[in-house]
Amino acid sequence: MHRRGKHILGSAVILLVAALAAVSLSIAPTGAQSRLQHLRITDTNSDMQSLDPQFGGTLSGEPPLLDMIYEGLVRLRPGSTDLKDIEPALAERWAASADRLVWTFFLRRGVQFHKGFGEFTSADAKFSLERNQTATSPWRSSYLNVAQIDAPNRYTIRITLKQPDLFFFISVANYKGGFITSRAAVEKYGDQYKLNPVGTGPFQFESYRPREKVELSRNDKYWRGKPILERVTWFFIGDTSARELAVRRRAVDMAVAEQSSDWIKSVKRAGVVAIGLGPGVPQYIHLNMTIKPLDDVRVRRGLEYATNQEEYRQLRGPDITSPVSSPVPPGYFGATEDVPKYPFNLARAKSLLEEAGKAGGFSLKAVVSELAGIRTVMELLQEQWRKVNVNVELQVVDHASFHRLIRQDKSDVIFYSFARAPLADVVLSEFFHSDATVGRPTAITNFSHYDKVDRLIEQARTTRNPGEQVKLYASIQKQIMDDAVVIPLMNTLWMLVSYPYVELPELAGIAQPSSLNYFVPITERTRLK
Amino acid sequence: MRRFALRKVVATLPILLGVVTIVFFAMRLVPGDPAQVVLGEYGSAQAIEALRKEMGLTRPLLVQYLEFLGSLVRGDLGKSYITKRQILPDLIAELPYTADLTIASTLISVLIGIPAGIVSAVRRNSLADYVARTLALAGLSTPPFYLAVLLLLFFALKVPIFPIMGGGDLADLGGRLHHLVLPAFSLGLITASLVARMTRATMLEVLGEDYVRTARAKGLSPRVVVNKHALRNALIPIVTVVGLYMGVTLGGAVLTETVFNRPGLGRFMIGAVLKRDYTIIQSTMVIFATFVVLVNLAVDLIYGMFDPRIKYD
Repeated sequence: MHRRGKHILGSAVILLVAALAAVSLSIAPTGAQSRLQHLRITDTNSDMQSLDPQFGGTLSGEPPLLDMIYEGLVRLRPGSTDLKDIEPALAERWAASADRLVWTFFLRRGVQFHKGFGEFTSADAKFSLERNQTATSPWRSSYLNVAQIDAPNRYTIRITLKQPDLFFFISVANYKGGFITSRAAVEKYGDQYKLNPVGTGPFQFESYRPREKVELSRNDKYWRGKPILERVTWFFIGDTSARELAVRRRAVDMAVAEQSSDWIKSVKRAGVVAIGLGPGVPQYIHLNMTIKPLDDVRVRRGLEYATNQEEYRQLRGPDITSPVSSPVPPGYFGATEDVPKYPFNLARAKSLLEEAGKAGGFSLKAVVSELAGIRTVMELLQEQWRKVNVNVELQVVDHASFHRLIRQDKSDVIFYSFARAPLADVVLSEFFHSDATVGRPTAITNFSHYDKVDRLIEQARTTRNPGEQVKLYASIQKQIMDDAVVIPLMNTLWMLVSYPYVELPELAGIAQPSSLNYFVPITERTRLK
Repeated sequence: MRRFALRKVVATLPILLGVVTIVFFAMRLVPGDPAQVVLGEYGSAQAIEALRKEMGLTRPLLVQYLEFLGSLVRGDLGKSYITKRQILPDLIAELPYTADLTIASTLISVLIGIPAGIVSAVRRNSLADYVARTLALAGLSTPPFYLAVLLLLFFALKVPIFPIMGGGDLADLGGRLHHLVLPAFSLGLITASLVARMTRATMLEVLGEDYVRTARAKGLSPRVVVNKHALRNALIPIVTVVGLYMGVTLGGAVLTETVFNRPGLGRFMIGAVLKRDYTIIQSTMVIFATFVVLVNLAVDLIYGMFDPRIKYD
């Protein structure tokens, strides 16, 4: 009997081992996959949604792909986000009218769209930029100042603005809705265009496997020169452990990192180097000023003093974070550090709360995303404010619900991090202008219901004098911090890891590279050594 | 038997309708919708409302529900709200990966679990029994995703003989099998623990029955007693458990699929839930429910193979 039992068990094990061995021996391990000019990258997202620049690019994994497939009329010099570094791209040169309202772009001739969709012309540029004005485009608010777009001839496009805008160039650069699509391709693919993108960039779209990867191939006819990389594969590996293993196994050459020093240190053992991209992802706590007792400035200032910034930086990693004290983060045009500051001071916090009659404490509701990066920050906030008798009730929900609920005023305290065009106007308009107040038809992300700087924001936006503009922005930031509308926590660099054999010539000599597209520029010059 | 099967299939229709109805309305009670997801954090309230209208989400719920049911009856699963892709081809593309994983992990659980359970029961309180029981307990206590990470660490990183991610190309059978080994073992070993414990318990019960004692008294060989008289009678509860676990594996494979970055229906549906892609969620739930019903039907039919006393008509 015993022998029979062993027999059955033994047979089963042998069968399994044999099957395993046969399969393993018959197939070469993926580690041996050729690395020859095939760049493999992984994202932190589990999937993407759209590669149509005018109706997509809202997930952090999409802008890097858009930047490889498409181009703008102009481009930010790779590695820089400074608007002084604007370079020609699909437009060879440009000119502005004396009143700076009419901008004429002279287009490059002979640039071909991918997959035989013909030559890029002014009709494509007009068509692409006008699509941003559609009611359902996420970028509509960035193009409200555009009065008219004309294409007087095949190689000229004229854009008329309603008001002068010193930063208009960002709207026609390789960022958000500024990427130029092929009109013929959009008309051919219809609502399927978002997964059949056609641009003029160095790499063309080949295939998409949902939740797995996007494959790009070299655009041999690229006007800046034939790219060195033959293929680019962009994987979607949402799971942190799986991503780490993929990096360590060299199944990928580059990866978007977890925004945590510990994760980066762990994968660095495999030989990768870390790259921190500016201008970073600033993180703030917004206080809903319509809720009692947050309508009392003494309470808000008390909470500012009760918040210890240094602990948030320790949580994320001091080497990938930097302090921030103003509503417009450092590195953004118009940012100033000359604002009222609230260094951590528990005694001062308690005294202000006592003055407001809240020494006995109170409770606040906070809707929190389940994403670890948000949840852990809010748990720390809960601990810090407990010391001044403020109880923060955390309601943890999935990320989609979080975005919905904070826009329905369901949270008294809102954690929000963002990456925007590095301009004070963008941040101030979206977070502190009353038009952007949640609950209104024009709502964006003014969670605080703040309405005291509308006039100044509008004045700064339309002034033609850059010096005057900077002064106005500074006074707005001072006012916001004096009113203690938001609590600045920290600024986090956008971290990537890369094996040293990936050569990024555009970044050579740049001490602190920046990108608006959540990734280093992968261009015709990128190569694997 | 045919009438029995037909009756069972017809009886599943109200279940499917119930599942679809609950999922349809429950998803709309959850905060967030596809328009919010598409526009992300950048969309203004006006843009979100315009997109909701364009997607047809502002129409009365009942109209949306009846329209969905009508499409379902016509066999049209519709388009994804987010990507605008037809759902059916995507479902068909995901299904083989899920089927591979479900079948392979079930085979592993049966091939390891049943022999281990038999040995454990036949050699009760021996060293083999203790080892098998300890391993089974360890297996049951291990979360599948943890085992998955361990398997990846050893067999894809330390000794890189298996791929670290993906599911292989559908047309490449060898590649698919290669990608399947670690995920199948990570799920199968855990189910094998349950099958082993179930087999041991039922075998111990059956081995103590009078007819087994009679068989032994007649001088039958131990092999015949165990395999023909005891195991056959012990198999009914085991088949039930394996059938149930096939259903659980189908939905519960999502963590395994995530860790191995592998295509499959679990990730397909969870991704849709996170994006509030209602049409995908509803369609996938129909497939899941149908599969569970069919597996249960198969289990019912298999009972008759092991126990001739079971009649279907």
